[in-house]
Amino acid sequence: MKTKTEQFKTLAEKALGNTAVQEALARACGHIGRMRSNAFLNYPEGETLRDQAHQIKAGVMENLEPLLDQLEASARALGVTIHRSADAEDARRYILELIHSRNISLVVKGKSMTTEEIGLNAELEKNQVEVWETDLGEFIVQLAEEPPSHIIAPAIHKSQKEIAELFSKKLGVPLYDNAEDLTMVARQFLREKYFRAGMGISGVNFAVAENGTLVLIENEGNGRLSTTFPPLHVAVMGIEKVIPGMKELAVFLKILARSATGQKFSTYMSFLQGPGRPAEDDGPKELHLILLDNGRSKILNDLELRPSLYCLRCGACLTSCPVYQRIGGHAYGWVYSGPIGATLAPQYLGLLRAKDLPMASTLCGACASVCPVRIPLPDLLIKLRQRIREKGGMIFYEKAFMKVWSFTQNHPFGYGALPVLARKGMKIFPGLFPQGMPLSEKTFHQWWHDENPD
Amino acid sequence: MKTRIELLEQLEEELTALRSRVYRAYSKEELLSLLNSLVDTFPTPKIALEIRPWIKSFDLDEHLIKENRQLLHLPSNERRKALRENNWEAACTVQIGISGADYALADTGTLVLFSGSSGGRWISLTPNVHICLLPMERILPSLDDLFPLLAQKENGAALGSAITFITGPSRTADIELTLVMGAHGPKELHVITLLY
Repeated sequence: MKTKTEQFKTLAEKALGNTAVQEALARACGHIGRMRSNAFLNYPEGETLRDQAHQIKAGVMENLEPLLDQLEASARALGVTIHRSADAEDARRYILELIHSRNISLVVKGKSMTTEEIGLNAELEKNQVEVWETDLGEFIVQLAEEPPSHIIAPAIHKSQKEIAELFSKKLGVPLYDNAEDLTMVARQFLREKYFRAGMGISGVNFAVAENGTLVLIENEGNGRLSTTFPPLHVAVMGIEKVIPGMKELAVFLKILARSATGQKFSTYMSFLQGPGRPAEDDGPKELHLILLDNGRSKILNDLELRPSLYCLRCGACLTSCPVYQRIGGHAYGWVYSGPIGATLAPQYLGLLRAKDLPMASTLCGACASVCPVRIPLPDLLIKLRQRIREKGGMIFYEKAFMKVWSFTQNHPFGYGALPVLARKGMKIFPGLFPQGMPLSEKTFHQWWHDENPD
Repeated sequence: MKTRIELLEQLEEELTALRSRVYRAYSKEELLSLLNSLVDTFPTPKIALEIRPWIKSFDLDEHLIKENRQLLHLPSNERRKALRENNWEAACTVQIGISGADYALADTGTLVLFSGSSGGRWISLTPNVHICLLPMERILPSLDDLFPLLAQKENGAALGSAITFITGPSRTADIELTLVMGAHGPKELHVITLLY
């Protein structure tokens, strides 16, 4: 996708004006959020598991290189071909070379945020390779020529009516009026593609260093189809997805689906251990694993911001965020949105290029309270704000406001005068405060003084 | 510690909540009549049977063959060769896949299938209806009971290239959060527990 983080303010304003998107987001986020919270209410050990998950990820980061070496060795022993990519360009080139060397003209993809991150689809299309997203939500946004707007619910912003019109226009099917018929359109359209495709591309949820297992998690089965029938399976993973062993895997599996959708387990969890075997009917002949850095090592070496690499891509922080709930994923202008996107974007794209994203947070802490690996997202956002300020990424009135604010906090007179002045301002310019909240009788300071005369 | 039957009850409760159908077979005759009634919901059913030895020992193919029914025999080397050579039309048109389960996890309602012992992955994936046969002693309380078994040597060859955890029929809610079964995988999941 085209990165547009610089246009955050414009995009967010546009989203705020779109009532259809607002309604869709409110309904979806409310629903998914309730599912998540019920799942954990009924699972008291979940809180301890989240602590453990945090510790495991911290350990992985301490030990990343040796773990990757171990993963390489154990996956190779299973017949997997390993390729390390320092950046997006290298990963794209590697995949294109595979496609050309094997004369592949059709590629199917299981859902993968990492391949969105490296802009793979655009590159394949540019090279006349037919590529199909097979996750229903991803398929919808692909047809609409839009990027996904939520990590786990890519078409969360689209209404059923819009999808029906889209399918009718692009696929020539009747205008269906229910989700079931529309889902079957996608099922039927994509089914033969898995069998005709020369390559299936997937992401990786976890890669187990001790035995080379690649874990893929999904609800629809398109991931299984994409990694079972094409003769060549290419799995693309960020290097931070490696974990030491099966013991650690169990911890993550128990909290991932609960955090993402409120399910105990997602419908399908595939533990892939190399390409298909001679005694099996199916499975790919070749399995290639791309270990993608693309800026991750830089974050790894930045101890203050390192916890942003713990992310499992469950989407819980998006769904819980009051800012995301209003503006949706597209406003962030990048593949990852919401609190985790606002944390990663300045690190991947440059502080000033994404300077507005960390500001778009109330620091309410909802994201940290739902994160399965307890990433301290508000702390990271504050840290990023500081760095952006140090780099000069503040405009004139922000600077002026901070000067005044700092004066009032350092001088008792200024501190006392601030609420009085603010109340005067609200009376003189009521239009500036559109919520129409009535002013209280007294300021808090006055009230406190009257209640506590000593 | 839960008893065998308590584990089964828990598994059935979870599976039912996941929109799967559960049955118990106390004898081979019961199993056959259950299978026949499920298969009879299709006018001209095309069925695929998995190869694992204990399923083979039931001689299901003999008993399921009737007029109007078509059964893909597995394994046969010719069949596998055809599948391997990407001649998937046959597999695509199968409506009912009958597989075994290597294990089940009671607390999450999960079936665990090893591609090694299944002889592949497709029977639980491409058909509209997946019928899974589960010997009762294969029900474990949870994931924590399974992982040590995966590491055991005697399971090594059976594991194969893919261990698949199946928790309900294929599903999606990508359109306005409306739950739809059978997004890409089976629309129906029927689990028959064998208690004999």
